[in-house]
Amino acid sequence: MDLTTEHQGNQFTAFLSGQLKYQDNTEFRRLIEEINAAKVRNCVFDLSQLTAIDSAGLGMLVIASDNSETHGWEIVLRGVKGQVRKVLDLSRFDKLMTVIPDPSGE
Amino acid sequence: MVGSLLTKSDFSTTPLPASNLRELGVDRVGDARVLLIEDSSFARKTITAILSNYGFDNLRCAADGAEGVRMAIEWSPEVIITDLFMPVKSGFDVCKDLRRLPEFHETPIIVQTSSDTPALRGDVFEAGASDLITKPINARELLSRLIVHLERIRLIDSLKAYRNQMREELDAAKAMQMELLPADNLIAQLEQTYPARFAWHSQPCQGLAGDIWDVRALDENSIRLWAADFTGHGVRSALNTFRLNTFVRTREVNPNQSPEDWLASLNVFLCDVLPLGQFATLLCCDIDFAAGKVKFASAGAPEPVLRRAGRHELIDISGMPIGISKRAEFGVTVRDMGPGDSIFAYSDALTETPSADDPLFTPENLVCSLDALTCDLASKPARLLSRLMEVSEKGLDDDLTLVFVEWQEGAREEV
Repeated sequence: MDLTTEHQGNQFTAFLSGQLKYQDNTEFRRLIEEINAAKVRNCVFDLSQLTAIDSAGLGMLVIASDNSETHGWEIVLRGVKGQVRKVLDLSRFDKLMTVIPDPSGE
Repeated sequence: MVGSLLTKSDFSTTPLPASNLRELGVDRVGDARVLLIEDSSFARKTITAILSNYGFDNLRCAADGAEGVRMAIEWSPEVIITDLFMPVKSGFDVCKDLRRLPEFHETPIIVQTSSDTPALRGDVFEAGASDLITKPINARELLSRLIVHLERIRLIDSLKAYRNQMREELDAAKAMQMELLPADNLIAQLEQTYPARFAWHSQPCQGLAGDIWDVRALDENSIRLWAADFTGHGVRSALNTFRLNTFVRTREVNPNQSPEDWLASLNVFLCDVLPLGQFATLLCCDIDFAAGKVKFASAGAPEPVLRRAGRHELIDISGMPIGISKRAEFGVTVRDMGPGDSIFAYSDALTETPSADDPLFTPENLVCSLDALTCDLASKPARLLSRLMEVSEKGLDDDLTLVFVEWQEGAREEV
């Protein structure tokens, strides 16, 4: 996974690209701590450049969702498509967080 | 050849330096078995004095190469220090003779010589020496090199022992995990009781698997097949398969509990026992041979395939994996099923090899591949596996489970 972030006022955006897998565990936890510390109200995970996610990656999103509840921020997954969208659909992650598919409809 | 350049500091009473590798199983080295092969009695005495002064008290000496090889075989020293030019057998031959024996492939052999030319050094190492020190012997250099080699060899031994122990324990754990899967006699019994035939393949990617599946009788007309895949793989996921298995096996089968309610009960259990971020996907299929129906319930498992009247189709069913949220709800999809039809359940390794974003089998082309797979049921798992192995030379990245259950043709009236 490659990661870049933006923080403006109450809005935090994390742009994830490549594949979200078990190896990204440490970096992802650091990202969540950064979001918690930023004390924002909203956090968007932009997944439009994310090509794949495995079950450990889903686990990290679960941890993010849990942190969003305890630290009072909203979590939004934006631009999901391809394999990532299939996995999120299959696992009904729309019940846990707001999931916005990529407009290209892939 | 005799030669020694000793200074007062070589005979200081400094004790042997304590090893800093103790945590790795390398403790004090003074008790090491050291064999000295040296034809000069003066040099033998000198080196013995140096080493015993530094605390090496387990030293034996041989006066020529042939005696040295003999003693080495009898005594198995941890380190050998040998002279190069000696009667009967030279240091070159000592190295060559010992290296031919498997038990001496890794034993450090330190060669000491008074002539030091690049060509000679090359010859010495080519013969199998581990190290070379030049005469006159510098006591502290000898000591330092001896300790380096001893620590290295003891570290290797300790790592080998650790690895062997881990391998034995993993093998034992793997055998225990295989026992969680349906035994051949259980399958045979089900195949006699119901008009069903099974074909399956389970393969951990790292010795232990996070995948588990099972099939049980629900009542006289129905069976329940389920397959689960825990996050990750290896030991942690494998331990979770034991948790789930214990929960499932210690509860009485309730034929009136629908598959989605059964999933909900597993979900509550796993939410209580699993740490945050760990969960399982699970597919449950209840086949009722009397009603000619199959009920599917899914917790984020890959979409199962139903073969109905010779055509395969993906069953569009989803659900949150179990162990994430107690609020999760599960749905059910009911389909007709009859003689000759079959169900295929699999873990995501099938549709994520060689990579999740460019797999050999997408769920969609898996259906076409299954349509084209006309071999008998028993060969199907192996055929799919061999196609996967063609695209993953280094082996699979994830645990693989493939389970086919087929309603035997012409057997309906037996129910």
